[in-house]
Amino acid sequence: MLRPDLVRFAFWLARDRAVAEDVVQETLIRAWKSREELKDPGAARPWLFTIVRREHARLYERKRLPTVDVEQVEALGDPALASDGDAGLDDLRRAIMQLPDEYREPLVMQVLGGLTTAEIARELDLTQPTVLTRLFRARNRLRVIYGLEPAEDAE
Amino acid sequence: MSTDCRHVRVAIGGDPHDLAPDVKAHLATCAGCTRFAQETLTLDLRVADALSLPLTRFRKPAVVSRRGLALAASVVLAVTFGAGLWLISAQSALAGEVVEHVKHESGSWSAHDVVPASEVADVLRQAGVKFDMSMPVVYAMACPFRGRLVPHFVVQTASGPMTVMLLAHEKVSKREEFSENGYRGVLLPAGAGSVAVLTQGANVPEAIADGMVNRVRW
Repeated sequence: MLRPDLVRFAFWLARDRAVAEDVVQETLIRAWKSREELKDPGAARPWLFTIVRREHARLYERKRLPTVDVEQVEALGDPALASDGDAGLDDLRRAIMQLPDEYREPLVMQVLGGLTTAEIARELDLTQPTVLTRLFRARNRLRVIYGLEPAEDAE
Repeated sequence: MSTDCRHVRVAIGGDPHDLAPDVKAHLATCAGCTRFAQETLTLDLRVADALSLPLTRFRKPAVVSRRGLALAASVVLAVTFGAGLWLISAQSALAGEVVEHVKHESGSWSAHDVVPASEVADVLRQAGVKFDMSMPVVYAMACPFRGRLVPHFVVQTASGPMTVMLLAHEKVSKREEFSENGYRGVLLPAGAGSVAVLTQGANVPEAIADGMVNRVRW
């Protein structure tokens, strides 16, 4: 089933559980209304992930929701971020949560959504080299959290 | 560290599952970058785990008002696209994810150089799988797939290159042929797991697919 991954994807975009659920519901409605656009059922996954991302952006535009402060998310003790009893995984989740949007978004699109860098570039209206650089920097930050030496960056 | 190493590590950090031929060529000669690539693949597995938050932490949609409409849309979408066999069948979802993975590593098809047996053995060791490979392997990677490391090979056969994925933790009940995004393939039961064999459009010869199953041990 795709819905679980859509909810997860929306959560990592919105960093808010309730907003994520709303985004996915809007996504499913929009997907149903525009189902004729999906010519290849095999491409349903990236198609739906793209709609999630657009619905997320649209929700913020429409409702002018406040951006979520990372400390606030943790202070609220969002159950989505509850510990699994694996300190390393908890650290990694917090680190992903604290990545800047420009790094977190392509990383989640690639790792969770399975989108190619070309698809991400198209969706984010960026060049492919820019997407690759952002993905490299996202992973480079997570390397440190994971106890690995970061790669040199010309940043 | 040379400029080449910096360039290669940026490429690996950008997409460790789809490396360009020049990056692969560099890896064949640079132990430091090879270690970096392996570390990045391991990290990606953990990142995938981290992103896959347990769904019990999310509330189930209630059947009221707009939320109900969404739920209904979800059900209808599932049924509608069910004709395309992608949303409601767990087994077919597996085939779809295999195709997505292979599509994501499209560069693997263009590999020509035979991978040394030691590297193939290393991939199998990382995934905890035993496989008696009798055909030349031109691509070998332990890939994160559904939260596990999975051996992903491209082998040269008399019928052209074929991708083989050894899915130790994905049990299927029966043989399933599939065709998506220009790829044709078959999922085969193999004890407690399964084996996926794909081509870029041609039928997968039954003898080759069955031969793969006979050579795998979990």
